[in-house]
Amino acid sequence: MEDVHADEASEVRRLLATVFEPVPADSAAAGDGLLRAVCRRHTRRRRTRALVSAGAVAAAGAAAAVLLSVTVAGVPPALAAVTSALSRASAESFRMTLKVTQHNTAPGDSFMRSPLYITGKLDLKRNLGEETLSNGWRTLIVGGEAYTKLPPAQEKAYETGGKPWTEESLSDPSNAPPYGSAGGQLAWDLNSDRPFNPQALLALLNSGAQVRDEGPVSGPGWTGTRYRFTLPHPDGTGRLVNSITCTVDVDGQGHVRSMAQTTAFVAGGKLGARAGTIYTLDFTFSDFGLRFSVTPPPASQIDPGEGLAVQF
Amino acid sequence: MRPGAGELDEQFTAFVRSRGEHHLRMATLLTGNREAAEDLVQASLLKLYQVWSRIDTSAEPDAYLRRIIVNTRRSWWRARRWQETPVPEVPEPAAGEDAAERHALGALVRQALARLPRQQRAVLVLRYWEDLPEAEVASLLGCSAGAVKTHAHRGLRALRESLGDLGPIAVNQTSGPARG
Repeated sequence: MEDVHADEASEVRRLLATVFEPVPADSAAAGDGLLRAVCRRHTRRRRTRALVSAGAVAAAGAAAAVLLSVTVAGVPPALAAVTSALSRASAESFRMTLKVTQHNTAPGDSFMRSPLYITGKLDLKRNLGEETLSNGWRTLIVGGEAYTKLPPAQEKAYETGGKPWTEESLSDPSNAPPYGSAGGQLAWDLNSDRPFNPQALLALLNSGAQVRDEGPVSGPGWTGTRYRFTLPHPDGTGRLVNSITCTVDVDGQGHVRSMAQTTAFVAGGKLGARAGTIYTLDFTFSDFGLRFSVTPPPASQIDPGEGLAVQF
Repeated sequence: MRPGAGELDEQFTAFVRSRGEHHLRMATLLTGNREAAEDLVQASLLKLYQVWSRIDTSAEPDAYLRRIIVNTRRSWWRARRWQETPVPEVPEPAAGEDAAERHALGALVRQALARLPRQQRAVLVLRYWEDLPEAEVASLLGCSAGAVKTHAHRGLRALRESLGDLGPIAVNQTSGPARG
């Protein structure tokens, strides 16, 4: 294949330059803007790490944390019940079904074939998971790694070098945009390998959510109580999120049995939507305490992206 | 308002002030969207800052940041279970007919870029906007030098087809990227 001729190279450079015409480069102003943003993210990251650590402690010592949160004087019962159930969920195993629905508030771009169905099992204490998606994807979670098998037609788009599996580190928080807040994290998670994130929900609750008791509710083989909370403009989500609303059904044993999480994105926000976009995640949970194992795919079938790794 | 003294390393601050805009423009071309580019560069700068004290920043901080941007973009793309469709922003028209025309041309080129396969777009941006040698582009994208040539050739052909008669007009109205 012949390289692009020098004149053609010049042509490409000039074409690319038109994207910024006639806006002159203002390096100092752009640099200052970036520095302010990096400062904010740096500060938020430290704060979020503290929150996540607190969440991890709660998860690790779930029973004690649950008792503590329920019995602390002054904690509203509805908040205590949801906090307790989410703390418990973050340290146990279960089967999960999830239906993801996208809705635009006005005619606009669709980001997905809606609805998307996900079924699987998760063990959040041991960091294990298996998920099958209706779009043909399959994800395995083993420790800090997520392995995703793409439908053959998508291997090329994801540049897997002919390998059927990709590998992503879940333990490296820098693999997700550092929105630096529970709300931003949830907005990211809904389209990630781990759409159910009880720790981020707990952090959201701690940021001032008012939880309402909506009365009795029941499902196949269980009865319980429905709770609901809404966070308008969650802290740290900037122009991304209008509100996050959760309806959580907790059974008589304190398990989260179902949950509807609705995230309303700002029109013209960072998803690039012209219309406001609303995602609803309808979860159901069952078979608590389920034991299962997950085996990573053979190394020869994984594209780890090693050629792209940054070595410091 | 500038970040408070002592909040970030002085050398890092100087680097971002002098080179931030350049990387923001590269990211805008890569993502096709200014806001996505801001997110990408901010996230990448945060990653760079975390290792700043451990790298030889006197040598080539641009190369470190460029590699982080390319990796982060790929990582974000792969982690998505449904693909977001970036909508190119249409800038506010500036005063004057010429300025408005140039805005319109810029929007057309951005849309044409957005329609390219990601790897073709990345090759055009890294090879010709960043002016990197083929071998370095190949290393950044994890492909062969031959693949870089192929992507460059096909990318330019696709751009020309997208722009039709407007391509030469766009080329004649601009002087190319400011280097540096």
